Order: sequence, then C-alpha cells, then structure tokens
Amino acid sequence: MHYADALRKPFAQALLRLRYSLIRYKKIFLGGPCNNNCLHCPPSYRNSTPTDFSTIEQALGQRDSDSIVLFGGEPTLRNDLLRIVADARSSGYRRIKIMTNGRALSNVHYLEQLIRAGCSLFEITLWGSNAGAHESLSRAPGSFWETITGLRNLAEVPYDKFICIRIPVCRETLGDLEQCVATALNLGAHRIILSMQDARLSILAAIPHISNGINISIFNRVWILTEGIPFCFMQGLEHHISEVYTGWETIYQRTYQKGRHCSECICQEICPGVDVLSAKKLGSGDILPVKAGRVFEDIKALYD
Amino acid sequence: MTKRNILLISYNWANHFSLALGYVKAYAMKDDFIRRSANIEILDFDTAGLNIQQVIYYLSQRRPDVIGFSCYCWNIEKVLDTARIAKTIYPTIQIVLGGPEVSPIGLKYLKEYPFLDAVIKGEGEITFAELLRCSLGQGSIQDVSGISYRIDDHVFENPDRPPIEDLSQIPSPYLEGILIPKDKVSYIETYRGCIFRCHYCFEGKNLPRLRFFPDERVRREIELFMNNPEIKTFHFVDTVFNFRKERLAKIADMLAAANRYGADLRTVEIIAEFVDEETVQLFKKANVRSIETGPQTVNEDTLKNVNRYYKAEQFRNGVRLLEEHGIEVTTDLIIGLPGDTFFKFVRSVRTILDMKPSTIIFSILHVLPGTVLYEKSDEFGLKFDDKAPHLVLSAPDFPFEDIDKAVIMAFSLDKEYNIKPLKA
Repeated sequence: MHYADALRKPFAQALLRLRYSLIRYKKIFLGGPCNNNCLHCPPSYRNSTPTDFSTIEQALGQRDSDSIVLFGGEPTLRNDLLRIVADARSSGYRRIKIMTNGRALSNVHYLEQLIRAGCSLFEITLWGSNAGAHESLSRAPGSFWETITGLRNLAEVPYDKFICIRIPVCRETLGDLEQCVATALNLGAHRIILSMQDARLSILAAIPHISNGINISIFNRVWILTEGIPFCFMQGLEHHISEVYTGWETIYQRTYQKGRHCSECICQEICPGVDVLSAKKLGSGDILPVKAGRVFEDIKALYD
Repeated sequence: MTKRNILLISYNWANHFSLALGYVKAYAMKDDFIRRSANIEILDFDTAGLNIQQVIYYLSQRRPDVIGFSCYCWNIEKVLDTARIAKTIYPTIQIVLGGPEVSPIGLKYLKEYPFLDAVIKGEGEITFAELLRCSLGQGSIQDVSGISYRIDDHVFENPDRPPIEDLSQIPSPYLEGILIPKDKVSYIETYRGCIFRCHYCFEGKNLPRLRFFPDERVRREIELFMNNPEIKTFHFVDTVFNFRKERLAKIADMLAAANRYGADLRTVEIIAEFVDEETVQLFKKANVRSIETGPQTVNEDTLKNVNRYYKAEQFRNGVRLLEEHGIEVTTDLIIGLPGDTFFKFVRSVRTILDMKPSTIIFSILHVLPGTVLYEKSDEFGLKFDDKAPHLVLSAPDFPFEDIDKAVIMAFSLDKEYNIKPLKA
C-alpha cells in the first residue's frame, strides 16, 4: 500500500496532546518582509503582510503567559520593533524572544537598543558553517557574515541573554550539518535546534548527521534538540525531541499524517506521524514503528 | 608566656564568611586557660580565584601552632592542598579538620591523608576547645570525645560526643565582637536541627530534636544587625524558617521592631506547603523579600525513596501566595535522585515551571558523607564519586549519560527561564 492510501484511512485514535510546554511562549506573528530569501522558508512567512501595531498591542494586552516570541517576516526590519519590545516589557512580560536571521544584530548599537528595550532571548537561524553553504540557502549575498557578526556581538554584549541557534536540516547542507553545529557552539549558543526544513530530504539519510551533531553538542555541554522528526527516527535519541517539551505545534507549522506502520507503534497516541509533504514525496518506507523502549512510559506520563 | 597561634581557616563562596568558625572561637575564648595561652584568628578566604600560595605565604608570616579548617564538599580540595603544603614546610603544625565533609568519615580522611592530625566529629565548639587545651598542654587527647586522631602512624577514634543540649553555652560570635556583620553575607541561626529527615541532606541527621538559641540572644543579634544602616540584607540559616507559625510570629515581631533602616531578608529556607495568608503577612512583617524552597522532585517513588515531604496542592498554593504578594520564590530541583529517570525529572521541571516561581535552581545530587543516601548507597543502587563534591554518577533508572544530559538540559533551561532582562 502506498503512503497516500494510508492517508485516506481515518486514524482511529485521537492524538494525546501535551498540555504543557516547558516555557510557554505566547506567539506573536509580526509578518512583513525579510532581507533573506531563504529557499526553504515556509510560503506563508515569505513577505507576508505586516501585522499592524494595534493588533500586536492588543495581543500583548492579553496576558496569558509571561513569555512572548516575536516572529514572522524578519522582525528586525520593522521600524516599530523597539517600541513593540518596550511595550511588551512594560506590560510585564519577563521573557521576550525574537526569531531572526540575526543580520541586523551586526549593528551593535541596534542590538544594545533591542536588549535595553527588553529583548533578551534570541533564536537565530544559521543555514551553514560558511558563506557558501549559508548563502546558497539564504540567497542573500553578504548575509552569512552579517549573521555571524550579529551572533558574535550578542555573545560579547555584557547583558544577560539567551542564545538559541536554529540550524535547518535540508539536502543542500546535510554534509555541513556537523560543522554548522560546531560553528554554533563557537558562537556561544545556549541551545541548538536542528529543524527539519526540507520535505524532499529522507529523514533516514539525515539521522546519522543529526546523531553526530547531537554528540558534538553534548560533548561541548550545550543542549540540542530536533524539530519535526517523529519518535520512530529518534530511537535512542528521544531526549532531544523538542516536541516532547513543547508539543507538536511549533512556530514553523507542519502538517503531520500517520503512516501505515504507525498503528504498530507504541508512540501512536503521542506522535502525529511524519510531515505530510515529506510522506507524499518520499513515501513512508523509512518508518519503523517503535516496538519497545524504556523511556516511552515516562514520556507518555508527561501527557497525563 | 608566649601565646600560641591558632588559625581557623574557611574557604567560602562569594565573599561569605564562616559562622561556624565564629562559634568555635567564641566557645574556646570562654576558657580562661585558652584565652591566656593562645591567640585565635579566623581567616575567611574566597574559594573562587584563591591561590593557595597566598595562604601559605600568610602562614609563613603567622607561623601557627594549630590550624583548624572548616570543611565542606566544595572546599575540601583546597583545604587538603593547603594542609599538605603547610605540613611539609612546618612539620610541627597540628592540622585539625571539622565540618560536614569530614565529620562523618574522619577515619577515612586520616588514613588517606597522613598530614592530618585530627578530625572533629559532629558539633565542633566543645570538642575543638578540649582538643586545643590538650594541644596547649592540659589534658589528654584520648579523653576528648568526638574526635578521630593520629598518634605516630596509627589512627584512633574516640566515642562520639552528644549534641550540645543547651545552645546558650555557645556565646554569640556577633555579640562577642568576633564576627562583624556585613551587608549581604551575614547570617543568624536561631536553632539547630531540622524537622525533616531527607535522605540526601546532612542537616539534622543524628540530632534527635531541635535545639534553640535563647530568644533574647536572637533578639540582640537582630538588633545588632539592624542597627547598622550599612546592612541592607541578611539571612537566616535555619533549616525551615517557617516550621512553626508561633515561632515565625515571634521572630517577625523582633525583626519588625528592630528594622529602623529598612533591611530585608533574602533566601530564607522555608517549606512552601506551610504557607498560608497569615504566614505571608508574617513574612511581609519580617520584610522577607525572597525565599527558597523545595521540592527537589515531584515524583512519588522518588519522594518516598529520599523521605522528602511534598504536598503538591499545598506547595502550589504556597508558591502562588508568595509570588502574588511580591515575595520572590526560588524552587529547587535535584537531578539524579534514586527513583527518578530523565523524563521523570522533566516531569518535575514541568510541574514547577507551571507554578511560575521567580527562579528555579537545578542541582545535581551530591551523595554527601553522613547522609542516608551515602550510607545506604548500595541499597539505593547509587554510584557516586567518592571524591568531594561526591556527585552522583548513576542511579538504577538514571544512567550516567541520562544524568549528564539532564544536567546539560537544565543548564540551558536555567539560562532561559531565569533570564534577567534589563529593568522596564
């Protein structure tokens, strides 16, 4: 049976949802343009309509969390970002995070302004360990060194800050993944996220590189997570599945579908399956259901 | 008669100073013979960045006859380095160790480190004074209870000394002028012992009940601290500041009456489960700005294994009440407790994060000498580093690599959760 056939079969069991996220961020989509032109950027994020200031203010006014993440388009291109951050801070948000390509942070004065306004958590995307690899995907000449300079500035400014470096996993840079992790470590990351961003990439082919990346990071005492990879591919690496800590609804929206072997998997109640695009393009042959494992009872208990 | 030089040395963190050595000196100085025969000097050094050579240089100038060290798991390495070098240069110096790191395993230390002369077991005030009298020529070491010691190449252990029943016997090092209170790094102790018997903790072990310093003395210490406008913040080292409401009310009254310069209390250890509206008002009256509490873990099996008191709903309610009233709550979680696994630890993290305390402190289990976990480590299936600080290496369902990953994850989470943005 082809994967597409399996998709048509209704999956009987409802998915248990994580009713928590370790730190729950209120997500505020800023929209607007980006100065990168990333090959794997989700279409909905690419040059989207900017969210108007009053809508953002309204969202900030609904205090259902003490943490926010500002994302979408490139937040640092907005003229009103400093004002948004300052308003969020004065509204009492303790953790204000931006997801950025980091280029604007190469201007240390701007970075200082941002931190002084109240933004102290940064999630920055690094496509590759060198200009060639990075810019082949960011498709913006000069973007690599700006991002690197931004990260260096961030590491050096004498304020309390949290630096997460997001490394997309895709066909073009798979061979560079370990080097990219090493680069992120040298840039002072407090956390690294390896995020599946390429529906045409076989997860099975990526896993050896991901596993190496995890080992390099842990060896260097920095926490590392994966995103968009179901349990069956992460057997033995379950500690690093970010969705175990945050749920499967991540900033980069993905649509998951169960595969034909999923009903044999002990994780079926807590795993949404594989990315639907990936499954359509590559089939579900790679999926090997999880049959046993000492950690799964404990993971399942997190959903209680 | 030339007085003998006695040095009491403590290696501390972050410019703190040793209250324990203050007690030891205060008690010893009660003794006429000791006072006539010896000068006792307390030296507090900051562990971080300290060069042992500086201490040795100081010793070369002072030429002490006896050095007493206050030993904890975090400073024992520096203590041993200092003692070894000092004994090599000045073989007649007597080296005496005391404190929780060495106290329960004195014989072991004496056997492993031939440059040590004696180790004090349990509370040190009376024992050190008696030992000092011997050293000054009065009495015999064989008659001193509560020590392990060396004579020539042989080590011996005398019977234990019971805890000091009447704490008023120990003069206040503050009121005697032995310790000078300083801002942020001064502590008051109002009682000894603990109402709990957590298996990972040294406090209260083998002490059958709580013993209290006299109220009047506590009041005078509080007065002394709060009469100094330079002291903006100080601490209490009591194991559970709020263990009984009547006592908390009494201390809060003393603090409120003495607080003429707006000093506040930070990081007092409390049990969150005992917190209600009235307790919060008493904390406010005492000007408590921040408290520290457990629960170390929230998993039932683990709590049972380590004999830890935790009531989920009361704890949550306590944290909520405190934070709502502007008292910052620091919660503690321990990585590597027997019964926990990586994801059970994550469950504890989740539970605590959900309560939104101001700060979460993660620490790895130290299997400390004298604790139940140390003594029954085989029974619990715990493996740990025998060398201080005695970090846990593995538990039955928590292998080394998982503990290591939990520590790395906790470091990252600590950075993210406890972030201190610039003021709004």
